[in-house]
Amino acid sequence: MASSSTRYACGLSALTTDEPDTNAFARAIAAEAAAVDAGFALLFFSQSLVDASALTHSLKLHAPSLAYAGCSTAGEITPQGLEEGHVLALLLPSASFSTVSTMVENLSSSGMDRITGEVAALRRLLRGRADHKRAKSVFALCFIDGLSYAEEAVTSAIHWGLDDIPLIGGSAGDDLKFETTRLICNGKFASDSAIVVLIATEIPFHVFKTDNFIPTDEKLVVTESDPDHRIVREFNATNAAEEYAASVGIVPQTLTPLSFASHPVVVKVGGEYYCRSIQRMHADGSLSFFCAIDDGVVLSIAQPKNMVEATRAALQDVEDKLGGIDMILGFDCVLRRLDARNRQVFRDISELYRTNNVIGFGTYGEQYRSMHLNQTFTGIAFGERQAAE
Amino acid sequence: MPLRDIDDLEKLKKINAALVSRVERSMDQQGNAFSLFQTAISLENRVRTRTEELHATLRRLERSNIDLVAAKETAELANLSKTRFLAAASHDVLQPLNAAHLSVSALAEVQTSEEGKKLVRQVERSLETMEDLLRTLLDISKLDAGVVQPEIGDVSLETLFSSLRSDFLPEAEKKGLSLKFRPVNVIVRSDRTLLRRILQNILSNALRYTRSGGVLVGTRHRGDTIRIDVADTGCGIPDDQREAVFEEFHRGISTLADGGLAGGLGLGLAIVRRMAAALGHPVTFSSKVGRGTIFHIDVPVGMSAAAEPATGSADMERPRGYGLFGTKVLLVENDTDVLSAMTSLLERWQCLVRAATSTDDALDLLGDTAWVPDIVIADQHLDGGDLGTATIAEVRDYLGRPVPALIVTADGSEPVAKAARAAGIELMRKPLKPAQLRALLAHLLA
Repeated sequence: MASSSTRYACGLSALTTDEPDTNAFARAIAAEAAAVDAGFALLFFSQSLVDASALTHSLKLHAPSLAYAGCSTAGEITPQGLEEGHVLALLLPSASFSTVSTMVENLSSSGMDRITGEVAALRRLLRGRADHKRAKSVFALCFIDGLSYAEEAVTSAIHWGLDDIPLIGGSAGDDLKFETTRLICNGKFASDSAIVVLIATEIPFHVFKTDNFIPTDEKLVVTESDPDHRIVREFNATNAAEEYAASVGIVPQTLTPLSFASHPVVVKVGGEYYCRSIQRMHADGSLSFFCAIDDGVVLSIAQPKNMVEATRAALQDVEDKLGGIDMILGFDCVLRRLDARNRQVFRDISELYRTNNVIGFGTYGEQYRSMHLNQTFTGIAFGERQAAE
Repeated sequence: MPLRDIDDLEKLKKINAALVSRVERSMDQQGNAFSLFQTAISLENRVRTRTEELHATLRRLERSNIDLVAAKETAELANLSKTRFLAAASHDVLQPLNAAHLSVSALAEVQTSEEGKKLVRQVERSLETMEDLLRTLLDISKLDAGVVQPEIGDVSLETLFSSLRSDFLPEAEKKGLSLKFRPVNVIVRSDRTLLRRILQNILSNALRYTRSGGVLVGTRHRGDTIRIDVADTGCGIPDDQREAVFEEFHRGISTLADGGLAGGLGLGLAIVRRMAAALGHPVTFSSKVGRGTIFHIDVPVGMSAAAEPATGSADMERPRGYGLFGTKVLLVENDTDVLSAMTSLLERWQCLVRAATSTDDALDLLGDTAWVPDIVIADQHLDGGDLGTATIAEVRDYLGRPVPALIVTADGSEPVAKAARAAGIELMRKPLKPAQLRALLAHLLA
């Protein structure tokens, strides 16, 4: 398979390839953009296949007038289901989608105010651009460097600037290498950055999240940590990796992302449990997280259960709310993928995504409204275009 | 090892310290990334709660809206079918009444006794009252059922006023009230019949609720609408009755003792409101209890700028070809000798002359629409600095039309000539030559 294209009823068009030839793919994107009159594209790419600089360069050459935003991944969700090592482009036809985007660079040295300001400016820009002849609803997408330690702050800041506009997004990944993720936007590529996309459309949509785990009563209290770098050194006043491994009943030396995916830790906030995923173990037995942690946080060991049923139920609920799903842009935690593989339900999940027309990518964290989450599947589902009255 | 199995005191102290610091920090709002996460969740929960509340409220509202709409539709349907029935049945409803009228007439023929005649008259009056009431109710039904379609056209207010005047004058005189219509020369866009009924109802109310003084009908130009004012010196409408007066069967305290037809059915303004709504003419009023009431009807100005000469009214048309026969002349002259000489000269030419000695005097002569001059002849220099040109201007203003006018003056100065030219007034120098005057009048009136 070189590249394939899929068009959806709502007008969106998806292109995928597993070929490293970025020029060929950029040409295919340009042709499809012309065919569906798209002015904007979302791009998700595996850095194992292509790198950001080659991709942005090819797009400049072959699709100079196309605006785009996107990021590197930890797995892709293509029209064929769960994949790895692919590039995926989603084209938004101008007839149904008014789109504006911005990239905020240097997150580590950025104030939150700047992000909120950028979002406000983006909203003004969209108001100026969106054609007001039709009543349109607006939603926001965000992509954030998944190794920036900044998602909580960025998500809060974006949400602050959005008011009631629903926000959905994912943290850029790098195929579980934990070295560099890339954000790309209109000819630029960078790390330590976040992208915000505002989209106005008359296509009905619905944002959702789903997760699945059962907390046990094994408690881990963070007694020593480096919150700025999301590193936990001690649980229960004992070396973090040792205490975690003891709690889940495995040998500390064999801890891998797969172990972390199969034995997530959850925190109880506001009467609900939220997953706080462990990214990796360091040589000194400290643990890096995909999200904010702090001293004194009480974590419970949890078990992911029934991912397929939970996901199916969630998608069914979305379908009921929308009155039919045309397609879904989904942000799916890389650890769900690992856990599915481990529990041998990978094909079931993949099939569930394929039949529900989910496309998107594997993330290092998911953004849902004002929250930065872990080990969840978040997304925005588009309904059938409403029949002309 | 599980938390509950830890018995190392140092470890427990450390865990305790971490928990204490966490608890303390969660109390202050200085956010690090984790507290941002917590805030996001509580925010989300708040939003969700609020959203759910809103949704619940919305659902309740929708529910009650659906119920309300259903109730409203039922009511409207019931009302509509009633109205349709009445509108359609009007003929059938009035039919038995006509039969009764005929029978009563026949009955009247064969009455010989005074007692019998009196009884028949009473029955006739009751039948008339009943018929009047029914017709009014049917009119309201027709208006409500929307079967009354206004036929909008040009309506001459002058014609309308003079016919209303002849209708209501006897009634006003019977009560010893004055009834005046300000002269008007304007065409409005309305339905002749409906506008007439509106004014009829307002006038009959005005006369009914006025004990002394009278009723004055006038108009005012307001851009491209004409406001018709019907002012009375009656008992007035109290503030708390402002809305109620337009309701069916609402009656004020009549000034007539008999409770019969003169007392009214209390349907007059209900009909006025419906007709005015059908025509799109706003009807308002201002009132002072014990002082009187002014009703205002705002009607759009018609296409034609000025009225055609009124026809069929009390206005006598000047037959053509009779020279100055029947020409109505308003003569303004402060010198009584000149005045009487001019009057006899004009009357020899079969003119109808009204003579005045000043501007005020002239305006008094134009009391109402019954007498509108065809021409004004004025001396320029009147008593007390009063000027003929001013008189003519005022008279034209009062009559609302550019009546032909002539200044007769011994003043040969340029300013006078200029003022006259500017105002479109002819000028003749004294001493007058009758032949010249006659020729000029004939020319002006052609």
